[in-house]
Amino acid sequence: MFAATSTFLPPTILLDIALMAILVIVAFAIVRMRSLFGIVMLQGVYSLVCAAWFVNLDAVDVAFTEAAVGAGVSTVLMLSAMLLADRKSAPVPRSRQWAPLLICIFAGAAMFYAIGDMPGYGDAYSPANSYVGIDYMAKTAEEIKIPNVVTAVLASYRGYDTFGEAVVIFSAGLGVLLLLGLNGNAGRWVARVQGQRVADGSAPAAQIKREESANPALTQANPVIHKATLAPAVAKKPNAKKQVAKKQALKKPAAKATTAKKTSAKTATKKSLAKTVTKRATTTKKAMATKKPTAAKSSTTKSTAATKKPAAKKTTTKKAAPKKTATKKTTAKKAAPKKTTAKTAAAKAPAKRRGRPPKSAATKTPTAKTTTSKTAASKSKTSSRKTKPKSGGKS
Amino acid sequence: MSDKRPDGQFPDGVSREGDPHVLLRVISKFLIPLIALFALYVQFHGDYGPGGGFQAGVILAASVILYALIFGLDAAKKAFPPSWIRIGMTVGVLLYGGTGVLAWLLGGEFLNYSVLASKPSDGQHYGILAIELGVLITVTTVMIAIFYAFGSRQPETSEDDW
Repeated sequence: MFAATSTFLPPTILLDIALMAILVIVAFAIVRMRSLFGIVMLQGVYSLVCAAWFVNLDAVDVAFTEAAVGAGVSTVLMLSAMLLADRKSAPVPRSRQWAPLLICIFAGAAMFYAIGDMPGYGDAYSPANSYVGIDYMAKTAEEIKIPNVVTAVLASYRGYDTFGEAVVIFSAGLGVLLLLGLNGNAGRWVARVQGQRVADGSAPAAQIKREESANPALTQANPVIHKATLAPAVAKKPNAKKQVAKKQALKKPAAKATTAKKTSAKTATKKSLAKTVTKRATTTKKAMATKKPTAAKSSTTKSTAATKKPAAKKTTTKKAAPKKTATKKTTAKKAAPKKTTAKTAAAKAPAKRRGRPPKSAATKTPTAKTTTSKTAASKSKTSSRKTKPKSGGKS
Repeated sequence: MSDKRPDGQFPDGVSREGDPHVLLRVISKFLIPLIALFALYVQFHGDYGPGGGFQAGVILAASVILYALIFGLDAAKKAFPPSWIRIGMTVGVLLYGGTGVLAWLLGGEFLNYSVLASKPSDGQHYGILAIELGVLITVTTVMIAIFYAFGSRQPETSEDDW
């Protein structure tokens, strides 16, 4: 391109070439990489290098946008989308790589073919510099009287386009809000197909709302069949076989793999287990009251049935781990005050059993508060959220 | 976090008060106001330097998102309540469109800001200011809305989940 105007070679051309080379390298790294986290990060790198390159080309406004949107916001959005999916992308079999390869080759060849029609580097008579662009440059000074022509073009001369842009962004946000909801909608508006709840229980926002609104009238009216194991589904079992109720209830939550079931099951088992484990609960409550967070661990080790299962599952259900630690935290927190009634203490006990050693319990000093079981539910929500920034911060 | 034993104690027995990312927190606490301020600079200096409503909006949203990443979604939702989002999205677009309609009512074409003031160039200034503000509000709220929507759905992640 720049060879066309051999008289003018900007000194930044070397920088251009270097940045382009980095872009190519990063692009190949993205293609070769399997870890989605690495890919997302490399995309951020790509955008940042792009932004640097745009600055070098004197397109500062575009560079701004690229740095803020490409490297900043979209990286975070990709990360949060990635966390909902797998961590690794499966390699595509070679037999299915031919079509994309052909498309790439043809598109690349077409671009190389089009290079011949490109205006020379810095050409004053290029289409971009000759028609309406020149008008804008000339008239901005007298018509709008602002120094930045880009703003004048975007906001005034091309106001319609920018309006359309704003509407596009608005509708994008509207679509996301309609599909995902902000925080609670995913749980509050549950789809009921033929009387069955089909909401995705894996969304933590959903189950929080469900926990709060898990009044018996609602749950009984709409028995939940699907895996989310809402209140009635689990509550029945311990009542039916009281002898094995303890074991069952302990096993049940641990056996479930997803986090969603965990908490919903927890609330369910709370009530049912209240009768069966009152004895144990009171003892553990005393122990915890004296020893505070560290007691949480010792009490779990005491009950062998509890520690067996979670430990076995530890490796397989990594996802479930943080949720549990979160609930653990709250239980440890709530257990500390002695004022808690026996019922709430009993409700905590099963959660304790099924959990694993409190990783984060020691990190948080238990605040002495007399909490009713209702506020406990809301508390578990906040604490479960609180653990999130760690991961986010790491990213 | 990695030096933590499974029983929740650090090897040296010192309680770190549950904050393994204290450096991140301190530094971003210092940076976030600057980022927000820079967004406002980009917004209102857009007539003179690079930038404008879109860039400023994204930068402002980035400051909120950074806050959410470091201090948690709940804290961010206190700082920037989700109820603002629906209002902000709409108000921004309406501000933009309303400026055009106002120009209509004053006898000009849609989005012809010259009629907004007695001097055409002043009218252009006001018009650009108004629509850039609209873009800023819409972009900020939409970016934060998307982040909140995804972030709220996110299951808990552990440290070794990456």
